[in-house]
Amino acid sequence: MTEPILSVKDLTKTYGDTVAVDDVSFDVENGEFFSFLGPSGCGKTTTLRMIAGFEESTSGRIEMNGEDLTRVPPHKRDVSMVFQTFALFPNKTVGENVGFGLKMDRVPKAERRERVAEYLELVDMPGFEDRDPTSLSGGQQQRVALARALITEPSILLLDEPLSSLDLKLRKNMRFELKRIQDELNTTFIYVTHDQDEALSMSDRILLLNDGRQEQIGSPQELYSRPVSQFAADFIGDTNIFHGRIARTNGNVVDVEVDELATTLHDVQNSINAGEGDRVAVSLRPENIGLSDARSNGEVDGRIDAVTFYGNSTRLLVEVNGEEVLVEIGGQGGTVSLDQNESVYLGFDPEQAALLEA
Amino acid sequence: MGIRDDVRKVDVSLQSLVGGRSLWIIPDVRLIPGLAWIVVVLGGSILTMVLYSFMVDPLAGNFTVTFEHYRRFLGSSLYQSVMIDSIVIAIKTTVGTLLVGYPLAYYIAVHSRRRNLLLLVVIAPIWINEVIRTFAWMLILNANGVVNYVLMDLLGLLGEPLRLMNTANAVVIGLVHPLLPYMIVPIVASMLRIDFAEIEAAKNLGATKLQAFYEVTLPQTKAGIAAGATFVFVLSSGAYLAPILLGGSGNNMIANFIGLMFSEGQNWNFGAVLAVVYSAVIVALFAAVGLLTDVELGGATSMEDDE
Amino acid sequence: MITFSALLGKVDISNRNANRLQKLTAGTVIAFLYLPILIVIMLSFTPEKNPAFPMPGISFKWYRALVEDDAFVNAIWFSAKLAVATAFASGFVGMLAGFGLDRGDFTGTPLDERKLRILFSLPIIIPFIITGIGGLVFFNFLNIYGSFPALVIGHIMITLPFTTLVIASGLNGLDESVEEAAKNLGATQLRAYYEVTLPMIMPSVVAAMLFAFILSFNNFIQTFFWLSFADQTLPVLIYGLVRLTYDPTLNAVGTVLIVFSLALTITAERISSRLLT
Repeated sequence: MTEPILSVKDLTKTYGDTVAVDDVSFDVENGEFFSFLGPSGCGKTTTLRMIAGFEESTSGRIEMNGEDLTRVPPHKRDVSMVFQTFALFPNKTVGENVGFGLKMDRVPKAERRERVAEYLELVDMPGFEDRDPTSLSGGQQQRVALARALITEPSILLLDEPLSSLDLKLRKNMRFELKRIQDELNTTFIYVTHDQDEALSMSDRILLLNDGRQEQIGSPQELYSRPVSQFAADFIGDTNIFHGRIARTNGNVVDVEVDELATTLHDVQNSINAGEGDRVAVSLRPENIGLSDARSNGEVDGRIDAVTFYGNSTRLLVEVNGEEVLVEIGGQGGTVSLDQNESVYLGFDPEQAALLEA
Repeated sequence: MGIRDDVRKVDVSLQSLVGGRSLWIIPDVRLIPGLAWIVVVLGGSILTMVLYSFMVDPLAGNFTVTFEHYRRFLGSSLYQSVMIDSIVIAIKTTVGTLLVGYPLAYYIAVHSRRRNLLLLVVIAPIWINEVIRTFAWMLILNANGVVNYVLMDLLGLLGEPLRLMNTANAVVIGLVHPLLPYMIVPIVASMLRIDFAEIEAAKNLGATKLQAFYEVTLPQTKAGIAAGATFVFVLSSGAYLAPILLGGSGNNMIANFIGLMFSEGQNWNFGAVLAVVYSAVIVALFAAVGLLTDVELGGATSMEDDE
Repeated sequence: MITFSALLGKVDISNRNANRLQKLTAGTVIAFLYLPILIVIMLSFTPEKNPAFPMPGISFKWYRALVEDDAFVNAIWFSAKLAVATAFASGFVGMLAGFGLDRGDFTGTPLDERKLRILFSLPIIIPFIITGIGGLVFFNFLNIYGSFPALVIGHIMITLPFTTLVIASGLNGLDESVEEAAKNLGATQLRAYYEVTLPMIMPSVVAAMLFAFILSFNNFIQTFFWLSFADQTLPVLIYGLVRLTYDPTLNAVGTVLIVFSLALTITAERISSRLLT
């Protein structure tokens, strides 16, 4: 097991009475694409800035390759940052911008020129050296900022919501670009975003933050299928959150009596170590709920309230015992009639259910 | 160890100084030079002046505290009337700039296309030397100046020249002219904050243009008028050039008297007293305006009913 | 009960007339503003010794007299020296203060940003006669009265509110992440200032120095009380001449000052508006 490239322990940042980052701890492995995900104000940017050295932590440690970074000023840290506003130097050309880090390292002019050309190639902007950065489009400025940050071959690249000011189509393209570049260089990326699609599609692992506190760390799959809290289940993708009581425990699995559905889910993974009789919550994603027009075994009956067609899928709000359940099915439903007020039967797969604290 | 580490330490402290850091109660060390000027130079000037007003004869080395100079002031009707005259002229100037400046301010606020140009045109004269500007008014108001030339020679309306120089009104004109921009700019600023849709709403509800102006626009410019009036009042009450060049010896204002004490009069102590009293009047004015505007803001939610 | 408002309601003006009235008043006021300036410029070209209309012809002799008059030339030179020194010194101190105001961390200090801004505005809030006299007694007390350094110190005080404000505004519009990016790429704080921040605020700094220059050059009231008998600034010289007698050269020097001031103002405004884009 190699040592993690970055190790954050009990990191806290307070501004007067407000706690922006509350006791956060995590490790980042070398070569990982690691994301901080969460709603605005959750502390992700503050944590990133502490790693970069632009904010001082109130308590806790940040270690890079085993070395404590607390006393190291920003210009001496082996991290590069891509800023949300790109922050290109308006008084310098694109080439001077990209070569800036090398100039600070006293790399001779000739070598600088070569490497600048090389990295502009990498971000697919060859020949732009003499251009004025303020004349470039958002996407182009983005790439220049990326080249500028990568040219110094940092151990870690920090990205602060770099795609948020680009339009949707460009954003989707840039996601591929970023992933490609990261694979090619094998640099560790730490990526801050509030967009869960981005985090899920690009990351090896995600740190989910809420209001300064860490909710969960894990791979995108883990976060999606095995959320550990209602916030986590709700923030990523859509889900239904039901409440109930543990009826029976059996090793790793439990039976849950779900209030809203008036049914019992058998053999649900006991990821929170609940005991018999405990109140719990259950998260069930819309695509894991089956829909049919005839009752076969143990299904719950409901009535369709609303239908929305999304092209390759259809979403329905089904009323069950006075509660609204969100259901997603592929295509247009096959043989099942999807009209409003139709009676339907919902089937729940306990294997896909996630058990959460109540 | 050794020199390299020392240089590094100096460099680190220099970097953090330049990057901004707090020291004692000063939030940022970079403020220190500027604050030094305010506290030491300005503060020192005012302090010395105030202290001199309470001393017998500091120039001669006599630093004993006395209220004699203040007693002289309170007993002298001359200097008190000078103070009052100055205030009267300041009031006239303030009203004058308001009446003349308000319509232009309105025009500027409404015409957004040319607004920047118009503001530049209004503000530019401020940068022209004040001695020259006052001198120019001498040329205009003189017995054989422009006004009389127009009235007597061009239009033939008068047989004798109009005596405009060396009057209080000449002083007021000579003050309204340079101080107009100080009234116009705050009023324009307050007008720009008005949502002009409100005027349209008023008209929609039956108000004529004049009514809409009186009910909607005018009240919302109160803050601007207050600011402008404060600037003009303070600047005109302390005027030096206009009274002495345009008003003649009969129309000296407080600044002239204070200056006199320090040049020909050679009575620094009494001059200091006059300065302190004048400052107190100005401070009282600021306090009053401050209180009034706070009260206004507090009662801003109430609709005004005129009887 | 007829209210004033109801009275106004009975009077109505058509839109066209309202516009005409507005244009007329606006034009009249602007004409009033520039009338004295025009008079001075016109009369500077009269060949007569008396400043009267009508002007019998056009002559440049007063401009020639101005150039040949030692007193004027010396005063212009002295004013310029003082103004240049003030511009640079006030620009520098104002820049430091501007950084302090814009970038300072004011949490938990008794001196918050608002109080500091008021403090820095004091030299223009306090009436000029007061700061003039105050300076006189203070410089006298320190035994530096009338010296060139004392004049510079005083002029810095007068111009500091302006330079500080202009530079703080310029900094306000700056994206701080650009400076952080430079540091992130290896520049020390000072290097980052040199490479990135200062070039970006250069227009503000230049504008601030121009304002300081012209305020110092034009200053009458405070300088009048601070000068020793040996030196003269141009405004003080002009004042002396105006008081004594009428000198036709005054129109010439007035015109020169007018043209010069307007040119500087337009330049400063051009630079400032470049800032806002």
